[in-house]
Amino acid sequence: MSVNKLGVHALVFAGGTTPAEVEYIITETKKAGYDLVEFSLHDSPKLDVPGTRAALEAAGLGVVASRGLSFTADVSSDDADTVARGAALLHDSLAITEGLGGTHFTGALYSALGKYMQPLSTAGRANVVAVLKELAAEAAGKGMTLGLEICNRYETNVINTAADALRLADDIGHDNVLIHLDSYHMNIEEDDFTRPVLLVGDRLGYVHIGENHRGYLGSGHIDFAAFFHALQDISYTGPITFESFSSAVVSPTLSNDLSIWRNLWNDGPELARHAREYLVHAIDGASRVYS
Amino acid sequence: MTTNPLGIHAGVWVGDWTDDSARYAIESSAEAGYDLIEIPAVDPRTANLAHTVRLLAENRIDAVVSLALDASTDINTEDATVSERGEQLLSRTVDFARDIGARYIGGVTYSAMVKYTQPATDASRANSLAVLGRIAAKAKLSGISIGVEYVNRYESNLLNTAAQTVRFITDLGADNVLLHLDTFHANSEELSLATAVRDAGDLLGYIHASESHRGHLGTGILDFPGLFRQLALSGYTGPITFESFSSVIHPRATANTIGIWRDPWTDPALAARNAHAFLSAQLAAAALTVPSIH
Repeated sequence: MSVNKLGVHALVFAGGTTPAEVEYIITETKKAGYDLVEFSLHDSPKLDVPGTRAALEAAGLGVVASRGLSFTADVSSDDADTVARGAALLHDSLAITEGLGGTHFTGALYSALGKYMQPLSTAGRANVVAVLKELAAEAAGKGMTLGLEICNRYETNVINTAADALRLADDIGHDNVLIHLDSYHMNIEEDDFTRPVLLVGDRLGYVHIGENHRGYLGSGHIDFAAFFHALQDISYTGPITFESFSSAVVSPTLSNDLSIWRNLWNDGPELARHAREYLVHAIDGASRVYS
Repeated sequence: MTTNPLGIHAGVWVGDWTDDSARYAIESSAEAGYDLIEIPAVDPRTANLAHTVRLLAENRIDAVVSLALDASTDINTEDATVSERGEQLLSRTVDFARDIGARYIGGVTYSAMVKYTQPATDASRANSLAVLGRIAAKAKLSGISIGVEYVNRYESNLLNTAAQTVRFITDLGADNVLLHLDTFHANSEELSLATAVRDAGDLLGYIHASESHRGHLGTGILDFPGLFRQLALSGYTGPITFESFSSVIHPRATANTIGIWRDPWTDPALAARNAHAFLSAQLAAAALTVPSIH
């Protein structure tokens, strides 16, 4: 069996995090056999944090929280007020993650999740480093880790490749800042699915598995065999979380931010069960290497 | 043996179309062995078209024209004023193509090339079809075909796959409108490049060969052998044009639109030579492979 905890992104089941949606997400995550659920905090004002934590504990599920920032609250900005709003959002989100019982807070913590219209500036990058240094110190005090999720060129201008992310993590300089690889984004930006994994090595903290079109695993062309073999080569034991989006399950904000125009599936629970079986077999297969 | 014309996007060489840029781009493309150059549309009312025509003839190279609408000229809209500007731009682009002797206009001709913040609507799609129908009719008078280049989800909300594009062209109902396949965009949206070619069927009229990260061909993730075998099986004889972007060449505004935050290369001549050799080798290998399949 896999040593990796397997997770599923909440947006497979529901677009928001009202109490009814959270109950459905947790029930279906458990039913599909996952170890943890990832909540995106884009809808966090609606999230009942203590209630969700109690439901997660009752179900015996782990939790990871993720988010991207917005153009009005962006730590990669040159504008001090915009940076301050971004830093406050990160601080609040870290507290929500802790409140949910999670120890890992990840995503585009370093920029808005969106299409920039100019390259990252030197001052903007310095702001990212300064804010994330503070956030990392705060997280370390709580025994928590931060993830830098590497996103494609249309979702950030700060880090698009593993090499970019390692440079940023080096500059932040805290060992509780880990790298988060996402196969969907890697398909657009990396040369292949092996070398980025080897490059990141033991600094890998979290993995998103998504198809090239973000639909059913195996219905696209991503070279998952190469990716899982590379994860095996670095002895990665951290969580592996399935992420998928369809116009059938819509968040009023996030779906448009992520350009989810197409219907790639209708039945989230069925998709989740399929993905878990796919992951179990792919991870198991990669462990059976004959030399 | 090679029947497909090999092309190169002018944007590999230049970021504008001044007389000097036109000379450099056309001469460099011919020197690197290409059969055609894809020229981003310029305003025929102000450009020195005779200069371009002369250079194309002197260098014995064909031209095709490309353009992408933007938010101010979008025809995938319910805003009549914006749509009218888009129709005028498309109409001027037909004039430009006609006046330089190009027979093909491809690109994001049906939509703005932008990150939309909402899905397309039935009305915006219908408007796009109506405008393109009129543009296709005008183009046909000059023997020009219109290419509909589907792009990834971040560059249009209307056409992201070959299957959607076939439905769009079928609804459009003009026989001089073709499907334009770009491998970079297909990488994000399709099951595979080969299935995209099969989905496109007889409507496939033009191909952009662009790597998964838009850098040197062969240095990324794309399954080019699978693509070229399917093209051979399908009997595709149309153009295959190398497209790659580096902000070394591109004006910052263009690079910003398509999210070029790092430079995959600094030497356009090296990129052009590598791509020509790569595409030629893929065509040759596919020709050797496909007869053995039968």
